[in-house]
Amino acid sequence: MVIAELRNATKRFGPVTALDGFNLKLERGRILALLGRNGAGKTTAVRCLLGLTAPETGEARVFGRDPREREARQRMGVMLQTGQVPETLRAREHIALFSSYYPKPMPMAAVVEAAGLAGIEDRLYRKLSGGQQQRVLFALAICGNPDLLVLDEPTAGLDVESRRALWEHVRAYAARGGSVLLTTHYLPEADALADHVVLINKGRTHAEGTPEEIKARTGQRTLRCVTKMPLAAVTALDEVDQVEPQGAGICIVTASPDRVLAQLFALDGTLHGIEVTAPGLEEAFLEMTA
Amino acid sequence: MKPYLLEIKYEFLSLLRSPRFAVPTLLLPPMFYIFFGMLLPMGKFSSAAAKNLLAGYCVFGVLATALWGIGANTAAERGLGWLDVKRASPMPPFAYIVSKLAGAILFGFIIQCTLMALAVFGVGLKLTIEQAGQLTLLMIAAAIPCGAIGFLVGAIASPQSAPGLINLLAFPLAILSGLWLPMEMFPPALRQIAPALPPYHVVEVALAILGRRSGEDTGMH
Repeated sequence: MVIAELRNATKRFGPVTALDGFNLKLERGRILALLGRNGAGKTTAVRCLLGLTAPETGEARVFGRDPREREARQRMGVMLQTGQVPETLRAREHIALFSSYYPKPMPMAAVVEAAGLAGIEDRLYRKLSGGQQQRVLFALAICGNPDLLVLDEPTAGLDVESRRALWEHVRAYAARGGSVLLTTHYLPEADALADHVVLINKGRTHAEGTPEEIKARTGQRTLRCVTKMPLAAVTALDEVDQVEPQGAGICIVTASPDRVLAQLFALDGTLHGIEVTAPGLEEAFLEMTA
Repeated sequence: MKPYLLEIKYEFLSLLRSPRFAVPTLLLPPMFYIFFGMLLPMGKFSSAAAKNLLAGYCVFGVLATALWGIGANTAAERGLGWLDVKRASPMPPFAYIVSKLAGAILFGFIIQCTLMALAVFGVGLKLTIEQAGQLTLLMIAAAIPCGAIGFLVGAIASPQSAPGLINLLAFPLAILSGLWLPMEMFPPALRQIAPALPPYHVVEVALAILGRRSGEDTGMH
């Protein structure tokens, strides 16, 4: 069942086309990542889905409704990038206020637990670290017991530990049966969380699929090894795109290192010094959307 | 009802806990009152001056609270994305405006009470419960147009430009409407401007409540 949808949405800001006939469908129970570099149209897509801005053509529907309707919003929890949150309120007070907007909010203790705020819920927002502040915003998103969670760049600016902690909380929410739409420009984040990835570039869908499919498309791997085989013989193997000598061994560029390795082992029992890297997965992804 | 009450409660708490807002808005009017109303006259009690200053600083309290509390905060919350978080939430549609306005009214009321206490116990002004009640109602009524100016500033100014814009509005309005110093001290040319400014009329109504008959019809204001 589709619970959130953008149909043929177009949105321009002056000469810039943020969304260009963009389509998006979120199935119930899925975690969908909208992946793209800054300025690709991710935030505009989210703002259309939230009813914060209206697409010029096409439409946004959430739970079959206009997203501006309160009935639709009461089934959604939202985490946006924000530079200003009232700093002189305690985490608990922020949660109590947002809980009051929803018909069936989670109990305070459950929210505190689910967002990892135990022990800091009575601190003023100002006194919290960046990671803790982000967890408060996450708590505001889940406190209403929503069926859909919308997270716009939820881990932007967080250190590795805080990022992983937030991922755990998102996974736990999804495990309880919730659906998630998240935007990110950070490929490992989409990889770690999503079961469906939509790659957006210049306001259009550039690629779509599971993280594995996207990764396969974004990229080649670098396989380093030491072998007795001559370069020409390695170049002739299936799936090998490029071979160069490197130090004592060789460096092979391929999309499927496992199949290349199987062939190499079959031909050369002395093969050793194996190292597979995904050089510039980020770069490959950036290249794809350039 | 619950979201509205919580929204008002936390707006008030949030203002009260912001020293940059709460300290000047709560302390400036009583300090001015003590200086101009109590220290400067050096014990020479003048009922008219005491009433003038009470009315002027009450209105100034409402004006400053509305411009800073509503204007500057709304500009910051709009410009830096917090307002979008609220808009995307199922917050009842008027809760934001109602809570901001209520916050300004509550702060204005605290200022008014402080000033009345100073006037009654410090200067010896006689003030009936009825007059205090009427003055409170007048200040609540005055908070609505002042709040509207605040929301306008909040809607057009960026977080950076809001404080400057508010200073440009608040100080000329306060001085030229005679909120800080009695109009009688001004040169006649400046006195002509006052009737064009809304706060002047609030002060005149306040003075009518306090019983300084100016000889004209209060209904005009």
